[in-house]
Amino acid sequence: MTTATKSSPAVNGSANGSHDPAEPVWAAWSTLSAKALADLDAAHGWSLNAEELAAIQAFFKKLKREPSHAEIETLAQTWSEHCKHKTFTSAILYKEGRVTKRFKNLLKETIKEPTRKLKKTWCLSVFEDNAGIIALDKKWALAFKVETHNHPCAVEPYGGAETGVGGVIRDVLGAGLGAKPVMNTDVFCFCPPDYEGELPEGTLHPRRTMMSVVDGVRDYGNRMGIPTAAGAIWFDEAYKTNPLVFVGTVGLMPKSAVKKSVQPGDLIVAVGGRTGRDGLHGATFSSASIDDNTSTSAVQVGHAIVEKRLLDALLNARDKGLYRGLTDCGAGGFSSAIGEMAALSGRSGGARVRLESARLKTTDLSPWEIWVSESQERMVLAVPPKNLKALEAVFELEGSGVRVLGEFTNTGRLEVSFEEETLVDLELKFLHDGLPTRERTARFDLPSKSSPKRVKRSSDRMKVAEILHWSLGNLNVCSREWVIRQYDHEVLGGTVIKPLHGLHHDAPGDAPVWWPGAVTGEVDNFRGFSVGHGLNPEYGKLDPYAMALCAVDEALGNLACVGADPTKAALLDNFCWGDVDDPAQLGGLVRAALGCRDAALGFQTPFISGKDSLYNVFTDAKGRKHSIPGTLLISAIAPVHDIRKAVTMDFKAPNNPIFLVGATGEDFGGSLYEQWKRTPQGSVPLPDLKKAKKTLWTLSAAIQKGLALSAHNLSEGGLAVAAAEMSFAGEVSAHLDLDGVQRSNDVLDNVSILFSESPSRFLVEVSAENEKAFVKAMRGVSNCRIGSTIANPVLRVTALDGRRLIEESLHALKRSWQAPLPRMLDGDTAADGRNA
Amino acid sequence: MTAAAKPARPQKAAAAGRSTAAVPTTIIEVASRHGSTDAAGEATLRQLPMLGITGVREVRVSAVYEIAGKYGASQINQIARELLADPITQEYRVEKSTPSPAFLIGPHHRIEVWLKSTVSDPVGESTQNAITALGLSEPVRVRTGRAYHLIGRLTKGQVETVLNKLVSNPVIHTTKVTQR
Repeated sequence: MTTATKSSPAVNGSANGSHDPAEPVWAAWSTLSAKALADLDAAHGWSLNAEELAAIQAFFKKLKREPSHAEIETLAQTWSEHCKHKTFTSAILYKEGRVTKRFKNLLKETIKEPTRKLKKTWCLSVFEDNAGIIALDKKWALAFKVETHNHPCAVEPYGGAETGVGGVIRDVLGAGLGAKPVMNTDVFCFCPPDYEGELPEGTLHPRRTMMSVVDGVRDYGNRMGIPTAAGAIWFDEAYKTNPLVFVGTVGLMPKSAVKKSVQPGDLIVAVGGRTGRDGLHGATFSSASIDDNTSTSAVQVGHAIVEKRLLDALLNARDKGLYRGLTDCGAGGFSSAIGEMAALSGRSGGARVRLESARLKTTDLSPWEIWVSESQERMVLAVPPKNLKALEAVFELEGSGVRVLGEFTNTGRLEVSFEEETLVDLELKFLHDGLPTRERTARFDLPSKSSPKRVKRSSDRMKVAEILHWSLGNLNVCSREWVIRQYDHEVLGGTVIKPLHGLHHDAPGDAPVWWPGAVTGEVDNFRGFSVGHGLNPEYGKLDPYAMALCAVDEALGNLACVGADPTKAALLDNFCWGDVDDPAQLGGLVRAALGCRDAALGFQTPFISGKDSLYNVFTDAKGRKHSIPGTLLISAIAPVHDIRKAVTMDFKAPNNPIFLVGATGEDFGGSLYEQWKRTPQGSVPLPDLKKAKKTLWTLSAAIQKGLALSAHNLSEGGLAVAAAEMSFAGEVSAHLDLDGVQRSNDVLDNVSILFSESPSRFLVEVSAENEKAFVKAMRGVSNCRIGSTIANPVLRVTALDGRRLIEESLHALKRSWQAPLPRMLDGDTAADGRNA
Repeated sequence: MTAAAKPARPQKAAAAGRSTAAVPTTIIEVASRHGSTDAAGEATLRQLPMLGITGVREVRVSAVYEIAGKYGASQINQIARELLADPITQEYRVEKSTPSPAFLIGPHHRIEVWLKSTVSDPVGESTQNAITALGLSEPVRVRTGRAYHLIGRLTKGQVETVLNKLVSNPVIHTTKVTQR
């Protein structure tokens, strides 16, 4: 230990500029009471809890010295919920009804468990890098990562969304030795944009939030030249103070670039943008809940051009083999990035950092600010000294900056200095493993199992038409074209199946298909990949376990019906939860995690990466806490063996048989129909995993054989909505006979068949000559022919008793589906009738 | 390229201001010519009825650049003409110069929205680099903003609404409202 405790001015305060909220008495840290430590924590925004503060105090007492400001900052960043996922990896005592279960490490025993058990050889890197990596074919691999940027987007939606996209792109760039980002995907949860209720002081109106988030995703993705081709939006008033913004990127890399390493003696090289005061405390900020006085120093604006240069230079350097390892500077900045890489260096790990070498935006930064600043567009490389000159030349060519900040060591210590002063001298062991853990308690009360009363549902023709139009115009179903059209989904030229399908490219696709040949130059290689999402917080309100099962089912189902191979699919989880210090909310999270485990085992589909964003809570001026509904996003990625066989969801031609694949049950819990009726009473659908897996795998195989002309996953609004969407997409309609639908014994009426939301169901159009082959291919899976496509632009449905139940023009159905977002976001009531 | 040039030692004095007080600043404003589409203006106008504001008949949006550095009038004109304005669709004016037709828009409210000095300004950074690339000396600083001109009837309260609910976020912006 050198001089960290001696009163060097930059460390101890006097030269720190005006940005320290309160100058602490660093020299007396060991004598501070728990209360004083907590006050200090609040003043500095570290988000450390009492146990953690006490552990740090005890650690330095044992060393017989005081910590430096930079050391506390380093610990706060590294131990933040954002970086360490301490809730998810903690021990939990979980009570569900009368059953009690003890988890030593929730993440390990739920999400990671199936991956360990399934041992898929095509999973090349799981849970250890910045992104999960799977094999695409013999030569290429795919890196996939989805993360959230919720807190920044609540405060400054445009900058928050931009830096979110920039961050996840760097995650993929920093996976292995770096993957080329080829597709972005974005999923949002917002309060409806036409919300007219009250909003707490300081909260932006949901319309403004939504428009600015879309602007941010658009500007960053488009400027980087990466197509934004997949996504979803969910609307619920519960997100009015805490919008959720999930951003994802798929990267393509040679298999040889999957593994990274760091060796003692490698230079620590910072590349990309300069370091400024922006985004101080982002990691600790995102681990805390938002209140009226949320500080603004955590907000920043992205600079896509700087990142694009970094990307181009980096991939060039990768192909020349100029560095051994890398990671991106995300939350915690240099402190987290170098701290993480230091752990990989040699047997004991270690790094020696000289911060005075960093490239700065302004000269008035304190050394600790340089260390934890979260300025965007920066990455850290481990470079063998002999390669430095060549690396500088590559980055020079792109006008991107290179600075050597020190070297990796094998001392087991993280040593950081600024000129003559030592700022940090910490054992890596304490930094990475010293976080005190405590057992948390979680509780989930199962919903009472009163069997739902049999309800007689009206089969009145007018009523059914009204429900259908209402469902199509429901915010969680209606057209997302207003958003999608702002994104460049064509750039790079590999988007084979685009986000919008149909004759006019304006209908809802299930999943995009992307062809890597567009960027690799292997024009004879027709292998591609697809990305699908599953999300339904409405189910989670009733049962988080069912939500998890349905989300996996939906994500994989979306992949299956474009012709991707679900047997080689991999999953990502993104948990966004409220106040997990509340045992009931933590209980919901545990139950959803158990659902993820069971679904992954059931579908034999491993998780490869994931992320969680907790404490999505808003505390209003009166001190009341508003938590978001527990929200789970499942993202799935799978190879498409031959992109030429991929199918879209629009009906292709008249007089083709239409099949309903999968069985229909009485599944109305959390459904659109129940929202329409406003009398929730049904139970949440629970996919039969064995049957669901067989259905998906068999259907996908049939599609890959070229036996289907179009296929669509049934989700919100069930059969009626899917049939309407496929019809107006292709301007080829359908005549369906409900009597042909295979259904469970409790499904008795027309409305049940039309609007039930039973999972794992698909509508498939098959050519007349392939009908027999399709039926043969689908053997063993519930499927039935329920009608044919027709030329007349009118959706027709015949009721169980033979009378005509639905006779609606495609024009009118499409208008109901297209109108809501343009009306709410642009005041555009003329959206009616556009090319319908 | 390691640590050849040591950056200046952090100074408290520097933190207080932007340490460029003595450097002259010039504001250049770039607007669409009359007859050219002003997409940002139209998009802003479309949002107003949803905020309950119906008296505004036109919104014109211009880009504003605050350039700190010692430049002569001809250099400032060069920056505006060759770098910032598209000569086909846009016009520019340098602060206090005689306005060209695009800037003669009758009575209006003008709302200027600037990024706070503590927020990074990517467009400003790019502009700074581009000015250097023109062969001129590097500016000390370039900050960027937008000026919204609301033409039509507006109450004071409505101007506040536009300011707070549409064009600025107090977290990252500073604003200035004038009536002409």
